[in-house]
Amino acid sequence: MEASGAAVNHRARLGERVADLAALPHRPGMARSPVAAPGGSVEEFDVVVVGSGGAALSAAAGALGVGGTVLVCEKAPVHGGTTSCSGGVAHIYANGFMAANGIDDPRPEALAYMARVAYPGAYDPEAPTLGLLADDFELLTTYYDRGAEVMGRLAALGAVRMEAPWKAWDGRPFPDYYDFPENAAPRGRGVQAVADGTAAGNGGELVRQLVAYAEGFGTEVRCSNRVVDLVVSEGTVTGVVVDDGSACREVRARGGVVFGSGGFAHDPELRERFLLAPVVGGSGVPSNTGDLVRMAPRTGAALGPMHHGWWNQVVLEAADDYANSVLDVWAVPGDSMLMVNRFGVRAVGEKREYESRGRVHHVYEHDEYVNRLMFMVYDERTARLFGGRYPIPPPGAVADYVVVATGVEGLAAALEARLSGPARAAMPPGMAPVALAPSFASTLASTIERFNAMARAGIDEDFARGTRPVEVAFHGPPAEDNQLANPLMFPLDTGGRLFAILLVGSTFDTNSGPRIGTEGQILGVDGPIPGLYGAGNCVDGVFGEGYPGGGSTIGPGMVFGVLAGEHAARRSPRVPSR
Amino acid sequence: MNLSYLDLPGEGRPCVVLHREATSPVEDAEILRSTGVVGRTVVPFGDYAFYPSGMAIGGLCWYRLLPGFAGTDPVSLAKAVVQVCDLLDAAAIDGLVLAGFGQGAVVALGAGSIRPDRVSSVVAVDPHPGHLPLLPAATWEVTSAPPVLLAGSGPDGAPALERSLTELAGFGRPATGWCWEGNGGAEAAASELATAVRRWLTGTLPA
Repeated sequence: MEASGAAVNHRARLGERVADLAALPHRPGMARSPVAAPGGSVEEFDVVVVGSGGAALSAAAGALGVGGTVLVCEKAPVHGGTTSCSGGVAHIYANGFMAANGIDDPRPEALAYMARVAYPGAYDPEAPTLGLLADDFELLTTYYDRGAEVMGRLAALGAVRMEAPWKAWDGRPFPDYYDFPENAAPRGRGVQAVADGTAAGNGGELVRQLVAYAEGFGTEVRCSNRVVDLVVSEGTVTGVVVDDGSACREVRARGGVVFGSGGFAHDPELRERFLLAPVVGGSGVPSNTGDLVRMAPRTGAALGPMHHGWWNQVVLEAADDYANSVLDVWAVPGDSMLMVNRFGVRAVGEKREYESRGRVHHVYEHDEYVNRLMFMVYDERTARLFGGRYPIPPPGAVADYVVVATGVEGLAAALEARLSGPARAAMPPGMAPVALAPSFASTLASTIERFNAMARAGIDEDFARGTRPVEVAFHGPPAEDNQLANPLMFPLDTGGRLFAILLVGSTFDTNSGPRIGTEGQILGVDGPIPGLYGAGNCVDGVFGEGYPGGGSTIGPGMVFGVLAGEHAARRSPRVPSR
Repeated sequence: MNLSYLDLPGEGRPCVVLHREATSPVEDAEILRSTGVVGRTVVPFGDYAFYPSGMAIGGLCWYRLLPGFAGTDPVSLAKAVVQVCDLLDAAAIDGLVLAGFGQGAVVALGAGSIRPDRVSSVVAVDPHPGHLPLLPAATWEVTSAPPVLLAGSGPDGAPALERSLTELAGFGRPATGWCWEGNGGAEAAASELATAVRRWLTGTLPA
């Protein structure tokens, strides 16, 4: 369908309203409400938590668990953050599920795996801290040593029991994302909340349980309450300024303030300033606008690397849309399918997990970001057999974001038209337009010919597609008619219609910000800043530039969230120390 | 416009059907098509969402499911209304019947109100009454909104229908109510619902 000239422009009228809703009170640079009239009493809690996703609510649980009082401030109109849109998996080493099922997860190998994934440029198995900076290594050891302990404590408190294994379609625990020899326990680290006694709960269920736990103490989760500033007294953070939409009021925190407020993926300015390659905001909630990054510097916080994120791919036409779940291209469906750049060249194994596919968009060579857009190309057979697995439309359905044409030449012409028209208009801010290389059609034909030969032989000589357990897990059951040696590949039929979907590099969120210590304290130049804590995507990520396995976002958020909440609460004179 | 959709041909009034959450969109569309009144039927698919438990992706919904949260996410609801308005423009058809079930009914009430130039009748089956106040304010700011049939399709639908009628009336948007009161299974309910919709669209359903 082509859009007609609408008699009523609802985008101009309602679209702005949606942006307002999404930005309320999210929008970077949005004006603050006036300061409340003086004279009223100032609320005081042991801990103020900023945000309400997995990291923030875990901080609340940690603080409540040691006897603190807590206020949770969430600027979005609903609670839960990106966690509530997610699968709710936490990547925990030597966790309760593994222990109960006899899966050994030895410490040296686990640390080596984490270090290699997180810091591939520095990892050296012979070096004292595996080649990592001492602080980074210490965070990884803390994560290994205390992850299962913290999860056990959350279960003992009755907050949430993270012991349901995240399983693949074949019923096996989902494998980690990298097939490195260092990994002695490649399955079982991904765990979800136990729901209804035995079932595995998703992110919404994880949030529900943590909110229920907090509310059991009378703790309020105040939505549409935006923390706009920190109160700092002689170098110590003693509270926050909260804008509830009508006025800005100070709220005191006797023990500390814990941020679990998300990264800055949906702040175009911070994205463009800090990230190394053009990516769009992506599939986290739109309230991820980097509040801590903007507030922390005036406390003297030391920033870590600011170019890290959890990478993925999204359909160009859905970029930065407000989705009901983390609507990235979670897995690229199809076997008679490949993905090429504007030169018609493959750049990554199409069945890799989202992180590796997302990172391919960052490649700079031949004087440009060669993979700024990737084109997922498939044939009639994959459209039929894999239809309904996003982003391939359900069988019989069509979607305007799918380019359809007959044969390779026809597809190239249709793509060229799309790129110079609707796709150009859809390019997000900060991302330059893309045009096909003159040789695109002929190169794509050669690429498909080579791919088809490799599919028949069962070996992808270029990207080893289908050789990693994680690829099989993401692909799902083989197509019934695919009896080839490598069922993740099948020759494309270029004689009929071909389909293409434009994919752009994106994020679940960034994970860059102030550095933290082993108790979640935000670090200044000379050590922890008293009263200021952070966990999750708002701070420098424990996993550096890597994504070891499913749950690498929520796991550290929860673990360091709990540790931060406990530590902050114990700073309060009201709360007994250990 | 990033919705995928079925585009089914037919003779009669054009129709767009917004499915119920996590069910087959086609089944809902068939109820409308079985009225014999509607022709070309466009059936969009909502966003994929996680099921309430587990990691299976495959549930389709129009706005976010938030376990334990009273109401729903008004931002995602507004987004769904905008998406459907986009679809109406992309389809470029006027005088259409905009029908919705469950979450789709809530979205249909919003999109139908905002685009009366495209929509001549709204059929809302089993909307969640508690979600109606969360529709964008623009929904209620229109003076010439299309007529609405508010239907309860299940045996326990009467209380929810009454609440929805009250909510709509409170926003100055009266609707015709119909509730299935028969016995039997889903097939019988669907058949009687189709009959009620046909009678309403042809002006023979008593107000």
